[in-house]
Amino acid sequence: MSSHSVATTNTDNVWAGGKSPFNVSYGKLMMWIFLLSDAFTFSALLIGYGVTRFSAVGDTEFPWPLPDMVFNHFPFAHGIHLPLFFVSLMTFILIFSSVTMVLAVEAGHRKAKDEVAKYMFLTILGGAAFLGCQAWEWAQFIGDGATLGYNHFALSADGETKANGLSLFSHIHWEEVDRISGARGFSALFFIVTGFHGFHVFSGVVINIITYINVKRGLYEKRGHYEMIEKVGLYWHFVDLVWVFVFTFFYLI
Amino acid sequence: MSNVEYKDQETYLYENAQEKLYHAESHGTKEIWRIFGLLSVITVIDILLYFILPVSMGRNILFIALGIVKAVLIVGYFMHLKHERVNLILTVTVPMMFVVFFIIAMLYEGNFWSTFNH
Repeated sequence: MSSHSVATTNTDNVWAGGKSPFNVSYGKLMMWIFLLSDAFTFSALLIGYGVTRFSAVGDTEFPWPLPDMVFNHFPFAHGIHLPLFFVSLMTFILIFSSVTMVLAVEAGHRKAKDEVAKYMFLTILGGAAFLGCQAWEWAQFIGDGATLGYNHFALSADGETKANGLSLFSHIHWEEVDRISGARGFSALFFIVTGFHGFHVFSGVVINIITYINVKRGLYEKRGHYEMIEKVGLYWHFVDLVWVFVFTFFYLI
Repeated sequence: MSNVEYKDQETYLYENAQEKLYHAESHGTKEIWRIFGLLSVITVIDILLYFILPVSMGRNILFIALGIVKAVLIVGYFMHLKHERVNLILTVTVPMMFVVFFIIAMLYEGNFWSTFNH
């Protein structure tokens, strides 16, 4: 294909074609549009979670379980009450992998191939670490007896009194705490929303591995620009963005 | 506009309008670390508030507000939306109004279900 200057023509009239009204390439604009539609999907899932939880207020038969008493495990600290610790670790892993991603994008603009490869590799490691953590979290959740339609993580009035006596780092003796069936939606929504997010992380890692191989092969160097890193980066940051809200709604609130 | 000829429009945009997002306006890597610092501090505040404040509606609103601040930092700086053209910013942000409407509608409905069931 011969090299031609599409962009340097038509400098006066924006509507004469050959110019991007958004100042971004077609591919990057479409990535933004895709992310917008994905944001709607996640909003729908999280709002579905919100309305289910809100409607469970005052339910004494199947109360909404306290996240404090469910997500309180940490590796190598069995039986110790550590709410929020593990998920905070996951949050920091994902934020940090977002940082290495944006550093890869920045290195791409300097055409520093080795640096792009290095930061892409670190991003892949971060994503893989996050997925590993999520697998462990799911294993604990399932091991505690949660299924898609059932969980027994809610506390009876008596159990709640005992739970209130729990302080950070204290040992839990579950046989003493009276647990009852919780709201059905609790485990279903946990599996679906964190699973859908985890699947995004997984596909992000796969896409990152493909672009990493392409960087190593020198494909983008030959192409003359590293715009693909930017597009992949947008997707990766979006995954981090969704986690901010999953973390807020599932663990903090 | 310069007289340099580019292979295609993608390369032209990458080298010109898009290049400015990463160097002239965002000062290279310094800003990346600044945003990382802010995100970490907000997350630590989240964790501290979780242990300090008793469960209440006010605490939940505070967590959501901090979540929105983190979202703005990620979208604005890591995804560079803040430095893009205004028409791209509006294309992405304005449709999110539907989400706001959806939240209001579903909270209203959830409240009704709650009183209906119990």
